[in-house]
Parts: sequence; C-alpha cells; structure tokens
Amino acid sequence: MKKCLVLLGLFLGLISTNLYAADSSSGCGLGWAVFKKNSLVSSSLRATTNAFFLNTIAMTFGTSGCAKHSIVKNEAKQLHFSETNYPQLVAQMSQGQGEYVNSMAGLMGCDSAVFSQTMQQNFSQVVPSADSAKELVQNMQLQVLTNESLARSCGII
Amino acid sequence: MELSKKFFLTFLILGAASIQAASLFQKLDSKQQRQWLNLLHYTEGVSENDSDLFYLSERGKINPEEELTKTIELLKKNEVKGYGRFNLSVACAFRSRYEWLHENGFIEKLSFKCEPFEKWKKEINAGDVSVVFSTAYPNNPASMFGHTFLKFHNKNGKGDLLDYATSFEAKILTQDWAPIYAWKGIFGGYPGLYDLKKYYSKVAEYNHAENRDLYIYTLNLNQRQIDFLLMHLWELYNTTYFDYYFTWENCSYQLSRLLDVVLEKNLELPKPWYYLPSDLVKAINKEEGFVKKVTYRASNQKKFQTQLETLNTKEVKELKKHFKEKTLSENRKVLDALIKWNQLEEFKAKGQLSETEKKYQYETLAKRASLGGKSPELKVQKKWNNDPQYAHLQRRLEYKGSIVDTRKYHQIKFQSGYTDLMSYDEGLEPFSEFKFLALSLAYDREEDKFEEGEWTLASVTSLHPIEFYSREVSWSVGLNGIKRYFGNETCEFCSVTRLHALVGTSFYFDNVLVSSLIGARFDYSSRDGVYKENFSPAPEIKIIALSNEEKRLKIKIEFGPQLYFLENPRFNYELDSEISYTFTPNFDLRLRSILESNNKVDVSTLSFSLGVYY
Repeated sequence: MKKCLVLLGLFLGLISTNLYAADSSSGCGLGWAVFKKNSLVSSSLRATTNAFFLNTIAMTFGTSGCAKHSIVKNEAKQLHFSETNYPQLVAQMSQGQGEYVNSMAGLMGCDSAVFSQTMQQNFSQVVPSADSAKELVQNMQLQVLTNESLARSCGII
Repeated sequence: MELSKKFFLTFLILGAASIQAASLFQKLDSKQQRQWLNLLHYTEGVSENDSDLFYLSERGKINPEEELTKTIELLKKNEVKGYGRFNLSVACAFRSRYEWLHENGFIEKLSFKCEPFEKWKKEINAGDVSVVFSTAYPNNPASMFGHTFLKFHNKNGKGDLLDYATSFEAKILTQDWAPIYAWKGIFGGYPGLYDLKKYYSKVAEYNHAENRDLYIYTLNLNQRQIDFLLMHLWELYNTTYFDYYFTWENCSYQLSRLLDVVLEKNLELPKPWYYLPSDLVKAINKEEGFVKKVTYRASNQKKFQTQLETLNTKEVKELKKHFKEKTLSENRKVLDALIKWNQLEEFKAKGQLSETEKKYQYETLAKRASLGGKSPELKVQKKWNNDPQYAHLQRRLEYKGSIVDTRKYHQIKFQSGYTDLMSYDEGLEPFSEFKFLALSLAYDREEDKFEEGEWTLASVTSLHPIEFYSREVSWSVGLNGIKRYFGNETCEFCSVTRLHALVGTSFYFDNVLVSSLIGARFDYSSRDGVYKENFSPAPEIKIIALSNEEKRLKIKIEFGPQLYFLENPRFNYELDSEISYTFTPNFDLRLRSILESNNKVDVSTLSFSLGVYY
C-alpha cells in the first residue's frame, strides 16, 4: 500500500505539472486545449479526454489500482471546480464546513467531515496567499497524501 | 429519352413518393403526430430549426411527412458516418428520432455504436431534471426579466453543485454597436445554441457575481423521459441551431419546446407576443403535480443580510469598524460576516481587488481558520417572495374615471407589459417598474367626445435601497405621452411627448422606501400655445416615498420641482399621491391625486381605476 502511495504522489506531481502547463486558462486539463470551443459536446468530450489521459498515464506508471481513485480520476474536475469557485471554497475551508468544501471532498473521494476539518486545521499550508487555484489543488492533494487520518478517510491507505 | 418523357417520369416518381409519405404520416395517431412534429420543432407548418444539417429530406423544414419517410429510409441503411456536425452515424446523430421510430415500431432495433453520446450521458448521469429560474437583475436591462435553464441532478447525489446544467443562449460572436445588437436580438440576427456547463458555474454567475436568487423547480419526470430528453438535447446540439429572438424564440421558449418532446401534452404558451422566463415557470406549475419540489438558493447578498441579522448592534458596529480599518476580530460570527462582505466586494470588483484588499481577505480567512469550529449553516428568511409562479400576468387593461380641474373623463388604458411600482410585488423584484407599449383613450363627458389619452413607449424605474455594504444607484428613464394643463386659448389641455432620465439614491427603513432622484425631462410638442419653441427641457428633482408594509396595500407619494428655463413662468412642481389595493394578484383598485402648479394656477387631478392583468 505504501508503494501505491509513493507512486500516487509521484504521479500527481507529474501530471500536475503537465496539466497546468497545457491549461493555464481554464483548468479543464488537456481536453480544454483540444476542444477549445466551450460547448455542449466539447464539455463532455473534454471530460472524456481528460479521463483517458489520466488513466493512460496511470497505467504507464503501474499505478492502475491507485488510478481508479477519485483523487486521480477527477484531477481536472478538481482544478476547474477550484478555479470557478475559489472565493467560496477557501471561505468554507476556513469555516470548517459548507457545500463547496463538501463537493471538493467528493471530487477527491474523501469523507467530507474529515476533509473539512483537516483543511481548516492546516489552512495556512493549504491556501496560498495569492489566489492560485492550481496551487490550492496541489496543496489539498498533498494534505490527502501526507495526513494519515485524511488519507484513511479517502481510502488511500 | 425525350425531355417530355423524363419530365413525366419524374412527376410520377415524385407524386408516388409524396403519396407514400402522406400515407405513412397519416398512419400515425394524433399523439404520434404531435410527438413527431415536436421532435422536428414544428410550429404552424414550419420547423423552427435553422440548420440544414437537421433535415434529412430536401423539404424537411416545411414537410414533416417527407422528413419521416426519409429518416426511416436512412436509418434502415444504417450508415456509420456522415451526419451532424461531428460526422456520426445517422442513428447516433439523430439519437431521439431513432429511439422514437424504434419504440413506435417503424424500424427494427439497429446495431450501431454511439460512444460519444453514451459517455456524455454517463457523465451527466441524470436522475432528475429541474427548471431553474434566475430572478431579475433590474440594473442590467438584458436580464430584467430573469433567465431560465435546466439542471440535471446526478443520480449519485454527491453534491448539488457538481450537477450539470443546460441553457439555450444566443451566441454573440461579434462586438456589435448597441443599436445593431438590439436589432439583431429582436429580429433573429444571432444563432442560439444549447450549452452544457457545471451547475456551479451557473451558481457562480447568478448567485454570486450578479446577486440573483435561484428557484429550482424539480419536475416529475420518469427515467425514460429523462433519458429521451437527453437524447433529444444531444440531437439538437449535433445537428442544428435556432435563430435567437429575444422576445419569442428565447431561452425559456426553447426550453419549453425541449420539454414538450417528453410530455403528454405541450406546455401552455403565453398569450402576449413575447415569452418571458416567468412564463415557463408558470406553465410548468400550471400542470397539476408536474413540479414535485421547489428549492430556493438565495443570492450572496441575501446570505450576507441573513448573517447580519445574527449579529447584535455592538457586533455590527464592530464589523463595520474592522472592515473600514482592515483589522481582525476575535469573534467567529463577526469574522464570518467579514468573510462574506469581502466576497461581495470581490464580486463587485469582478475579482480585481487591490493588493491591500487581497491581503486583508486572506488574513481574515486565516484568522477564522485559526479559531476553529464550524460556522453554522445560514437559513435565509425571504423578506419578499420573488418566486415568479406567484407573479401577476403581464398585460393590463384598466378603466380610469378622473376629474381634471372641473372636467370629467372616462379612460380605457391598455398596457402590453409588464409591471409598475403600484402593482402587487409578490413574484417580482420590489421597487422596480417596467412599463411598455401602453395607450389610453379618453372620453370627455362635458364635450361629449373621445380624445387621445396618454401613452408609454417604455418606462423603466429601478429603486435600489442603499445599505452600508451595497451602494447601487436608483434610476428611472422613460418615453411617454402625457396630458398637461397650459390654460390658454389654443391649448387648455394638450398632449406632450416627454423623455425623462433620473438618477439618485434610495433608503429603506420601517417598510418605507425613500428615493431622491435628480435629472431632467425633455418635453416636445408641435402645437401652438404649448411651448415657446417646439421643445422645452427642464432639470428636475424627484422625491419618492413608497410603502409596502401591507402586501396588498401600497402607498406612494412623489414630489418634485422642475425648472422650465425656456418658459415663463419657469417653475413647476408636482405632488402625486397614489394608493393601490390588490384583491388578487391580477386585479387591483387604485386611487390617485395629482396636484400640479406652474406658479400661475394649480391644477388638480383626482382619479380612481380598476385594473386587470391578463
């Protein structure tokens, strides 16, 4: 399981860099770059593309078991959600509860109560002083990986 | 082959084909015919779809019978690509047509792949559908009537915000000059398309950025209906667009037509020449049991107002002090209010906060986190019910009996829309008025003759109460035809065309709104004896007091002086008092007194009116 965790950490670091490089504007992952037109079909295909993209890399890294976890599958969604809802999300993280922080917990596959509490307790490490959604997602993922009780609630260990 | 023979054969083939087509369509029962016409979006013999990609037969836009025959023919061939915008198989591109024809026994079950659709549908994973109404935003003319979209509730129920929503929107790809924009908008110059976004994007736009409430009406649809609705939505996006007309083929009308494809009977269309977002809300609520649940999502500003109500006077004072001095509180409740206030400021500034403001926002959040504990969830108590299903109808017919000075009049007035300051507020945003296309005919009892009455082309008033956290302006503009007393031989009472524009501030306390506005009016009349020139501008001030303490009883007093600097005498003032009592949302009684003085003579008008919205 620890091997899985390490691989997951490496994988997250890598795809974060790649995805952010390809997607500085909207946070919709590679799909955004491929399907630039914001439309009914492109939205769905974007999601599909991102899912394919993530799974393919995960399999290359031999983390296919871990890659089925929401934290990996929903990376692009986490980023889009954070970017669109940054003010509400960080406000509720500081307040220890709310629908935005619960939704983010859902996108990461974690228990919302544990997730909210951990984010509040580690607020200054998780929320960057500048409003950067990508840094926020990276820091939340790091918390999931390094905080034992949160990792347990997310079903990672 | 001789030309005449060729022509004769072609004629025979076409004739046979049309007989076949007609007979096939005629075989459908009335319910099936309605469904087929709905799938093609037919209205009065023509389809409203505007792209050729939508029609499989040459005359599909005007001939649903031919379209039926051709669709069956092509589906039977089961070609794997070449249809719609994305080069899909015919059954995949026309997903709902195929489903309907198969269910109704016109074609066998086909073996075809439609992976993009299946993935798209799986991602949406809809178990429920809601019509969402975003309330009006009076300070933005484009949104004055509100907006509607559909929300697909994900079956996994992991979070309302993560659901998908679709709306029909005009795609404005060019930066048009405002009059061109209006022209194109009214006369279908922009294409309209369905768009799919995450629901949280809609919430961010309406609830947070524009401070508009959302009403969510969850529909009583079964899974088969929901799946079919998605198939049709997919088909529309893949194959067509609709010219967008702001007054009729707009967001709400198209959603209504979209829902029609899964309903036993079509939703009722409004009687006036325009279709408003509230008409869709009324139509779905008119069908008994069709709306199974109504949910309310308050705007960010209303949430903040609720938060303020949890603070005592000392805490409110503390809040204001901290916000002004950019300092931090040790009180959780005050910090929570500061966080919300900072958010309101951020949305107001469209995210462009100064470095100091950003720093303060971050420090507030960090401080709040350091205190720990959960903030309680806010339950917003509505001061006004702005749920549009309870609003009065739009067209107004009014009888008015009046005494102007010593003359008695009977007046009949017709108003095409929409609401005014004295109308019943329920279901609408209070303190706002939008009147358009009104005309009255007056009968002078003494002279025993009919004469032209007053008219309104358009008149908009938006009175926003100022709060310490919100300083939106109040304003009023309009173009009206009024009757004014001049008292000379050539013109005792004469018609004047008046354009006015006013701006100012409003305050609300003890259930009374008080507005002070400043601006100008510009009167025009070509008749002799009215003004020295044909026109006369006049700066003016207006004070309005409006009470709506009792829901059905409204009292309004307006007072204002004007300076007609080109005339003699120059000064004029008006004192206008009005009381309205609403018996039902669509029926009211009004009493009004106007006292006008132009330094020479006072003219008083007393009137009572009975008005019906229909």
